[in-house]
Amino acid sequence: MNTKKILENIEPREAVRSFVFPVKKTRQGKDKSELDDARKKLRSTMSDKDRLIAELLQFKFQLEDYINSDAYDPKKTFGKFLLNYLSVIGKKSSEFAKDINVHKTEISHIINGSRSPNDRFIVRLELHSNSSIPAEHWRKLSQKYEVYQLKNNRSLRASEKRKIKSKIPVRL
Amino acid sequence: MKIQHCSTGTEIDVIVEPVTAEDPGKLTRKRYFFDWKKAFNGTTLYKLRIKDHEDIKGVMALVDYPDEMRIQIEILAVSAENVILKKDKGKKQKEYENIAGNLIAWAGRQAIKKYGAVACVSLKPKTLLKKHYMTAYGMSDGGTQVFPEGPNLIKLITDHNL
Repeated sequence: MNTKKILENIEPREAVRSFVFPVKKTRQGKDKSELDDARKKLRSTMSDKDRLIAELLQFKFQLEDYINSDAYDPKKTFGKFLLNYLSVIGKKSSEFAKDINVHKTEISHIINGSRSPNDRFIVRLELHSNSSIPAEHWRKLSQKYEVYQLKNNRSLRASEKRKIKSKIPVRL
Repeated sequence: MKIQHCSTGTEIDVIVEPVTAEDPGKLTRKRYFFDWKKAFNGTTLYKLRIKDHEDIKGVMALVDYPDEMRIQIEILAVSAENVILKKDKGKKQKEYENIAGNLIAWAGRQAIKKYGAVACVSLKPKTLLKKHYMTAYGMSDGGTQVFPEGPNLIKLITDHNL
């Protein structure tokens, strides 16, 4: 059944619940300027609250897709995501430290990776975001780093190997 | 993201993900209405399936316009058993509801993820369907296109539990 036939045989209300039909290319310039104008008009009515929600969603989706992917990216550390969160909410780390009642050095240690975030810190992050970014997301992010480190720590394996006196007789 | 099983009313978890190399053979004209092999040119195809099941319930082709911070839905179709034609009215019940809504919301998620507060997802409707897309998905009139942006895009995404 081609598009014309489908359109003849379907109620409009049902059609939009089932399809976006392919449309022949038209003059791109006219299309673009009409759309640009409508978008500009709409954007000018956006409140600061709407912008913050959109940017928080952007942050959340980037975090979700990273923690749910198999890939490990050494640049996407807990500290980097925390810095992004501060950028979205428009706060300096010292202000944020006051907000969640921790010492500012704890924040800077977590950002530079010299300290791992504990459960207390992660739960405060969730509470600070009004539950917009769940604690599980932050925990999965730090676990992703820890698992990568564990898998790739050759010196630890070498040193611990010497301490194993006996092994099981099979290997999977 | 959830779709509703029409005969029982049960809500079922679904996943949207890229079409894989094995999928194009499954995307027949008979079940998915369009020539999806042709749609591959310059677009990225995504499919909607029920969690832990392989069967494709809906498919769409997206094109990203980074200069405009916009993602365009070029084509979308739900599988044949989820479409009610005029001749089926009163005789057939669709299997699942809200497949297209979830796919459109997911395109919006991709746009927000990439472009944040200035993100936009758009589609070029057939003229007679324009107002119906605007009503069904909270879209605005952009001339030859309709689009949700800003609060309407946020609402579309959050209404679909994304």
